[in-house]
Amino acid sequence: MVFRPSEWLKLLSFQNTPFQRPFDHLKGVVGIIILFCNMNLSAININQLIEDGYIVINNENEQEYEEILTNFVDNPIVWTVTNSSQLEQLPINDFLKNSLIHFLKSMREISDWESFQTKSGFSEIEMETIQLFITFEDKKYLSGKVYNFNSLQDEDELAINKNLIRLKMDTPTGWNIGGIIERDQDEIHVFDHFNFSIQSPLLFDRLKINLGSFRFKWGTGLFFNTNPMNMISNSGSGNFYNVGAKIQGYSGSDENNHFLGGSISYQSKVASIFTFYSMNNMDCNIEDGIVTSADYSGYHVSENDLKNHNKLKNISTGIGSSFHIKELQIGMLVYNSNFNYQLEDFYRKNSLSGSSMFHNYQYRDIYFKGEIAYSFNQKYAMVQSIFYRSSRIQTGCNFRYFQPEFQSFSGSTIRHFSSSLENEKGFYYYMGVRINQSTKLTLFSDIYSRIIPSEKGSGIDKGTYSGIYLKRNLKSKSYLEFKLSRKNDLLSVKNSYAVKLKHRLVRNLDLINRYYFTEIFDTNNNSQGFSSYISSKIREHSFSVGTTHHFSNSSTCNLYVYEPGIPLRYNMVTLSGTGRNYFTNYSCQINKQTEIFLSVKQTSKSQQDKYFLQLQLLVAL
Amino acid sequence: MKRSLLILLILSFNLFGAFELQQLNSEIIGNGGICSLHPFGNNPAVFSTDHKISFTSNYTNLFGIKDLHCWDFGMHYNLNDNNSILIKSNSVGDKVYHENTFNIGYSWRLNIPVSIGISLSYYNLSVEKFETENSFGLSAGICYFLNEQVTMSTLFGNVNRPKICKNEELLPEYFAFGVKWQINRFFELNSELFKDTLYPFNSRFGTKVNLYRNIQFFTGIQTNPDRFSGGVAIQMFNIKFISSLQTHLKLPHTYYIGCQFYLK
Repeated sequence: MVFRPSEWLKLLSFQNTPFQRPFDHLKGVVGIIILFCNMNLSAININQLIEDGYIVINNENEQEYEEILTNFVDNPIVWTVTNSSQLEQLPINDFLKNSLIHFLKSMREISDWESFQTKSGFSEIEMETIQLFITFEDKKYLSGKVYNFNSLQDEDELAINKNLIRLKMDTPTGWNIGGIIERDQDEIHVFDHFNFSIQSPLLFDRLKINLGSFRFKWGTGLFFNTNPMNMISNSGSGNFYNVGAKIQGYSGSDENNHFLGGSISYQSKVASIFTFYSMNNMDCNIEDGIVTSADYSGYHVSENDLKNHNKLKNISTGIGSSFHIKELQIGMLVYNSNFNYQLEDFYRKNSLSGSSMFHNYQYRDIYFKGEIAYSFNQKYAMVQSIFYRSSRIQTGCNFRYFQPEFQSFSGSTIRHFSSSLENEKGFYYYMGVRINQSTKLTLFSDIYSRIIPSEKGSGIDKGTYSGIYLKRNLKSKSYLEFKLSRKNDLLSVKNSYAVKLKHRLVRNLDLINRYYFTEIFDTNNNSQGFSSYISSKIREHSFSVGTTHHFSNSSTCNLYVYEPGIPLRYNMVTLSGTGRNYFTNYSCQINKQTEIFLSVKQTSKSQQDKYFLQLQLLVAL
Repeated sequence: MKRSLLILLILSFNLFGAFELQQLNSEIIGNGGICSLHPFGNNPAVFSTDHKISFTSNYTNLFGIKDLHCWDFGMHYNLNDNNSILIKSNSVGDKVYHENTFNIGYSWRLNIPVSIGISLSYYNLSVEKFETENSFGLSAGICYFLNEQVTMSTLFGNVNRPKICKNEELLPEYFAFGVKWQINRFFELNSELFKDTLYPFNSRFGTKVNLYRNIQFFTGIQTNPDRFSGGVAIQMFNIKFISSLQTHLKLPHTYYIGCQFYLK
C-alpha cells in the first residue's frame, strides 16, 4: 500500500487519470448547480449535536440518516402554529422533547429567540438544537441546497468509494423539488442511482400532489415504513412512534425503499383523503424465477448484483383517509401491491394487499397510539401503546402481536425475530427520568416470543432484551455516560457495556473517550473497542482528530462505534477483528452559503491498510 | 540460556520480540505495568515538573531464568517549565540473544492543559552466529490534565511499524490509554487500557499509597494474561529505592530492584 496524495488531488481536480470518466461527467453537473445560490447552513453544528446526544434518529440506517435530518432542517416547524404531535416527531432526545412539549402549552405566543430562552431556561446547546428545527416565521422564498459528497479509497489501488450529488429547492409558492445522483464503490455506472421528486404546495387550499419519488409512511409501520432496520430504537419514545399518514417527496440515496409514481391528497380541516400509484423497480435475489429475498443494499458491482438490479417490478396502489377530531386522529388505508415474480417469503404469491387503521389520541399528558393491520390472507398484526410525558418523567409500554403468516412487504417496526413481520409477540416497557438538573436515567425492557414454533417439533423461541442508560452532566459542558444492555434469547446471553466521557479541556477544545465491551456467554466470544479524540470549533472552523482501537474474536460480536466524520453522513462504523483507525476531520463555513468538509481516515485491520478521503461541499442556493 | 526457554519467554508475551513491551522499571511494574503515565514509561508526553533532573536505574532477572539479565537506565531532564527531554536505554538477554533499546524523547507542555511528546527508539538485536539487526521506532503521546487530580494520557507506540530481521519481523505497534487519579495526598489510583494492534486489549490497574512520608507501597493487576504485582519504595533525601515483584501464571515470579535519584 502506498499513500499517493498526488493521485487523490488529481482525482479531485478532475485531471486525467484512469478514473477520469466518472468525474468528468459529474464535473459538469457540479459546475451548473453551484451557479444557483438563501438558506441557513448548519451541518457543522449538527455533527456536534448528534455527538452529544441532542439529536437522535430512530433506527438509524445509513441510507436514511441524511434524508431524515435534512427533511427536518429544511422544513422547520413554525412555533406559533405547531402542536405536540408535530414536536413529538422531531429527531431530538426525549428529555428535550418533553421540555419543549410542556413549554409549548404555556408559551405558544413567543415570537423571538431571546424571550424563548429566557422563559424556557433551555441551555445554550439545547437552544442550538431547537433552532435547527423550529422557526417563528413561515416565510417562503426561493431557496435550496446542494450536497456534493465524494469519497475516495486507497487500498490496493485508488478507487472511488462513493459519490453523491443531491439537490433540494423550495419555491416561494411552496413547491419542493429534489433530486439525487449517486454511485457506490466499484459500481460501473456513474448514475447508478438517480431519482427526482416534485411536491406541490396546497393547491386551491385543498389539493396536494406528489410526483416522482416519494415516501409513504403510515401509522406504526406495520405495512409501510421507510427503514428496513427493525431493532429497538436508541430513543425510548422512538418505539412509540406513530407517524400518522404522511406522503413526502423523496430525494434520498436508498435505491429500493421508496415509491415512484404519483399521489394526490384532498385535505380539509378535519379530514384528508389520499390515493397513490407507484411503479418502481427493486433489487432482489431470484432463483428459478422466484424472488428468494429482497436486496436493499443498493450495490451493483458483481455480475449477480447487476443481473438482479431493478428486477422486481412493484406496482402499488392505495387509498386512505385520516380524520382529526380535537386530540384524536384516526386513519384508514387499503392497498394492493403486484409483483412481476412470485415471492418466496409470501407463499409464492405475486400480489399482496391489506387494510390498516391507526389511531393517535392524547388525553392531557397521556398518549394512546396504535395500529391494526389486516392482510388479505386473513391474518392480522397490531401494535398498541400508551405513553405518559411529564417534564421530568416519561414512561410507557407497548404491546405488539404479529400473527403467523401475516403478510407485509415493506412493513417494519420493533421486533426481534425474522425479517418479515410475522409470528411474534412482545411487550416493551420504557422509562426515562430526569433525576435532577444534571442526571438522567433511562431504562427499557422488552420481553418477546414467537406465537408458534418456527419449526415443527421445536420449542417456542423467546427472549428478553433490557438496558439501562445513565448520563451525568459535569462542569462546563462535560458529561459522563454509561450504557448497559443485556439480551437473553435462551441460546445465548449477550451483555454490552459502553462508557463515554466528554471533557472540556479549555474553551472550544473537548476530549472525548469511549469504551465498548461486548461479551457473549456460552460461546466465550467478546469484543472491545476504545476511541479517543479531540474536537474543537473556533469561529467557522471545526476539526476533530483521534483514533479507535478494537478487538473482536467473532463476527457475532462486531462493534458498532461512532466516529466523528462528515456531517449528515452516517458515522457509525462496524469494527470486526483486530486493528485500529486514525481519523481527522475538518469543516469550514466559507460564507453564509457554503460549507466544506474534509475527512481523512486510515484503517488497519490485521496489517491490511486502507485510506479514505472524503470531501463534502454544501452550498445553499 | 536454552533456546526453548527463550521461545517460551517470547510466547509468554505474545510478541515477536520483547522490545519495549516488557517494562523494566521497578516502579512501573509495582504499579501494574502501566506505561503511559510514568515519566520513565513509554509515553514521551508525560511531564515531570517536580525535579530538574531525575535518573533511574533498574535491574531484574526475568522469571529467574539463568543469565537473562535486564538493565534499564534513564534520565529525565526538565529544560524549563514547559519542555523536557528523556533519554533511556535498556538491555535484555545474554550472549546468545540480546536486545538493546535506546530511546530519546521530547515533551512540550502547551499553553492549554495538554502536553505532547515524541520519541525515537533505536532497537538493536544480536543473536549469536547471526548478523546484528537494527531498527528505528517512532512513538508519540498526549497528556490531558483534566484538573489537579485527574490526568489522562494516550500513547501511540511504534506508529511507523518498524520491522527487524531483514524487514521480516514486525515490531509491535501499540496503543495505551491511561488515567491517573490522585484521590488525596496518600492515595493514587491508576488504570490503563493497553492494546497491541494485533492482539486483544489488556487492562491494567495500579494503586500507590504514601503510607508514611518516605515510604510508598504499590500494588497492581493486569489482565490477559493475568498478573499481580506489588512493590515498596523508600525515599532517603534525593534517592528513592524501589523493589517490586510481578507474578506470572506459568513461570516463576520476577523480582525487580531499582533506584531513582533527583536533583532539584
